[in-house]
Amino acid sequence: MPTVYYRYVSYLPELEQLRDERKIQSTNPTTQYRTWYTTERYDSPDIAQQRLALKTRPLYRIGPISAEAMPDLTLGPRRVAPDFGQPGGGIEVAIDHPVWLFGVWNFDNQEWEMLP
Amino acid sequence: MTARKQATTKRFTVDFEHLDETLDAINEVMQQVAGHHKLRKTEIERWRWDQPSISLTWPCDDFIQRKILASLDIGSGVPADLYRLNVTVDAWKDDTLVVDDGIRVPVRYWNHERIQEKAFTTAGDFPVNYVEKAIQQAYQTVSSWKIDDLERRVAL
Repeated sequence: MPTVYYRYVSYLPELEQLRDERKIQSTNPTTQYRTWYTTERYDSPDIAQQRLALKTRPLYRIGPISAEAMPDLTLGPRRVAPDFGQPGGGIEVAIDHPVWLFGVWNFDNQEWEMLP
Repeated sequence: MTARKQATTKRFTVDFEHLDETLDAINEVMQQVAGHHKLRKTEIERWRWDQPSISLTWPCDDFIQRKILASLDIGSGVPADLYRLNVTVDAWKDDTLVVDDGIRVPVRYWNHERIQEKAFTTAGDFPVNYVEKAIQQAYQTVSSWKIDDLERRVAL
């Protein structure tokens, strides 16, 4: 089965960035926008929090993103260590470049257009 | 109200630079602790999954991984409690477990403990002395754990 990646997000400004710019990337400038992904799909935010050892339950899952659409990995894949009282155990990777989503830009309206 | 407007209503922003200054101060303390105890193959990592935290991890001869984590939370909002610092420790060992039918399944044995929580206001009044004490205490706690102390188990 081909590898795909998912990102789990709780920070709403990042979701706004995704909607406005069609760009998946951390909004944290102090890490040069390093962005974390996993190869695992979780249908429960509680399981995502446990497996990725996150402080809070994620609000959104972004993906799947095919490996071909991903920039080179900066870190990983590696097994998630325990953190924040969560056991970890999932798989995580990090990249230092954005992932761009397909979109249709309307020149007249100057915004991304929703397709039927 | 559209989903987008709802998201905007709930929006709050993180002052990444301000929090990163605080993580810089904690980083210095972690480096000192690692040097003082002559820890080998240490890894200091911050902002994993954009979480305002910094961790010091090191492997040991007993094949147990040990970690000290310092994380920052938004406090209650009153002037003396704008931010909170939490120091926790984890230790774990990944292994295999033979189940009834002879199949080996990967498992993680681990333990976790909260060491200290402290409120503070800004990076300027960051309680460095407190952090040194908390991280030393964290080191003493996590380094004392043996394999039998890893009482929690989770399938990998």
